[in-house]
Amino acid sequence: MPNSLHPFSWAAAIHRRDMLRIGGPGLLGLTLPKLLQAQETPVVAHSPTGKAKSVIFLFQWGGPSHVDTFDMKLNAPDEYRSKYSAISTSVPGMHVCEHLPETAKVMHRIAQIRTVHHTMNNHNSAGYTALTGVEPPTDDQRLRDSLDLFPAFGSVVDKVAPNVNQLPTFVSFPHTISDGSTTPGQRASFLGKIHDPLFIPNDPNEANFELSQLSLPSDVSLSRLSDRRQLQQIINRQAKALDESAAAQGLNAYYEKAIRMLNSKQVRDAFDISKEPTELRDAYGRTTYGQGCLLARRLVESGVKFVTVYFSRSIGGRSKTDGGWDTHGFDDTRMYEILPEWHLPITDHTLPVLLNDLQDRGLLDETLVMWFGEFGRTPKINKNISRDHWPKCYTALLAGGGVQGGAVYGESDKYGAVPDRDPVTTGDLAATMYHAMGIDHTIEVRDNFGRPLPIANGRPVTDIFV
Amino acid sequence: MVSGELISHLLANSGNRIDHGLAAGLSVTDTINQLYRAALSRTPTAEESAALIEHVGRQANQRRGLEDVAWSLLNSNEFLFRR
Repeated sequence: MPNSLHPFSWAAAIHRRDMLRIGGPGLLGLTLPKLLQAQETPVVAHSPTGKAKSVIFLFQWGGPSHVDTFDMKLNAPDEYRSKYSAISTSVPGMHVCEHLPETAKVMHRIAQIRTVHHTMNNHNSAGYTALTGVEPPTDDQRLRDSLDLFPAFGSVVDKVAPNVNQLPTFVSFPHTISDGSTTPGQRASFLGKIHDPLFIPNDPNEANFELSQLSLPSDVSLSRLSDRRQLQQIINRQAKALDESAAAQGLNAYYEKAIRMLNSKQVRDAFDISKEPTELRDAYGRTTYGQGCLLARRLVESGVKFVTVYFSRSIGGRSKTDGGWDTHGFDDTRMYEILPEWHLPITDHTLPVLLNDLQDRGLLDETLVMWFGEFGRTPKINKNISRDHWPKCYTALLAGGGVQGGAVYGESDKYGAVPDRDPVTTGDLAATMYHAMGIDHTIEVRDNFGRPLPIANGRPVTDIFV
Repeated sequence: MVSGELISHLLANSGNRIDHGLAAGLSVTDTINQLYRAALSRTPTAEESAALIEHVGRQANQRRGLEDVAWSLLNSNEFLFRR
């Protein structure tokens, strides 16, 4: 018989089951209803220091040449040096390409990281890396979207810090980018389809721009849709086991979300770009990308948290009228003839307009704008008087969201080939973005195998913030 | 799926299963049974029958009501997840 004064004997007299019942949830101050509530409320992982309530991600598909735009090497030898001249900017001592005169006037709003780098040479593998912050297992141009790969930034935000207003957390448009095959990193992957972006395939520059997802066929009113939904739910109840399966729950959540958005005037208004004044629409430029940037501003103004605007569907580089930044000089085209006709003017007529627009509305401080592609371009000019892929050192622009305008982080070498000082991985860049949003970059999500992975594999560049 | 034009056209298409049923003079119950057999390889349960017949009865015209039944079948878990 144990001695009742001995501490171990006292403990032994209480059954383990009783200990669990008394000391478990009760100890944590959580009764059963509150426990359930804790499970349903998403973990909103904000710290008070993040200034950015929203992100506008302008993804420059194809890979802009850093040494011909923002990191020009004016003293490099002929075989390396840009064929363009540089012009001074609103930041003393800082220069940009002569074909970006309007952008030059707002460089005091823009911070640059000149030493972003990764090891992927192909568009799909590099594109995935730039869109998620994570490198794929191999540098595979035919990298296929699979549940093993990491989700898009916006999907992560929707998972760890979703919107609690009526608006979608993550919206992307107007292209699904691809290079041969669809580029991974645009959607939610293993986080589940509920975290996919609201993707708009329509062209915001079209006269009748309207969300096909948010408009009903002419013979279906909202009340008729509601009736149909009720019938659907009755039918679903008949196969209870199926109804309770994870897949069915996911699909049910999708219907709820879709119908809620269809019903929401707030959402429809947010996308109604026709409400913008004509002069402003003209200022952004009557192009798909220009109106896309305007739509992005409108959406973050309404409360959307993460907007990705894709510059083009294709990697491009051979056309003076459309396509991405991939100017190799193939097919007898020449980079230096193409850029001033298409890519540089469209950049110059959108980025400064967007930043000034955000500033005028008092939104710039709480909106992080990111501008970069999947890599830069070769410091040495090729035999087609153009440049090829270069992931070893390139430039990312950040503005707003508490970033120090006019700052430059990292220094590339005299050719723009490798980081000389303060290299920044794509994981670090992702961590920097989460830091701006006040999201803990070390939070873990579970991948397809149940492995815990941090949302960003790197450390934030805190120096870039005010 | 929720608001798709394609589904809408298929449902409204003249000459589809709903039209055949109506043209052959089938009752609402029998047309619904036919839709069930085509979509789910079964007949409706008592609960389903009651709710669906009541819904069709409440509509301005039978065809609209039957289109709604067809939509609900095509968007049900049983249809989408089988096979």
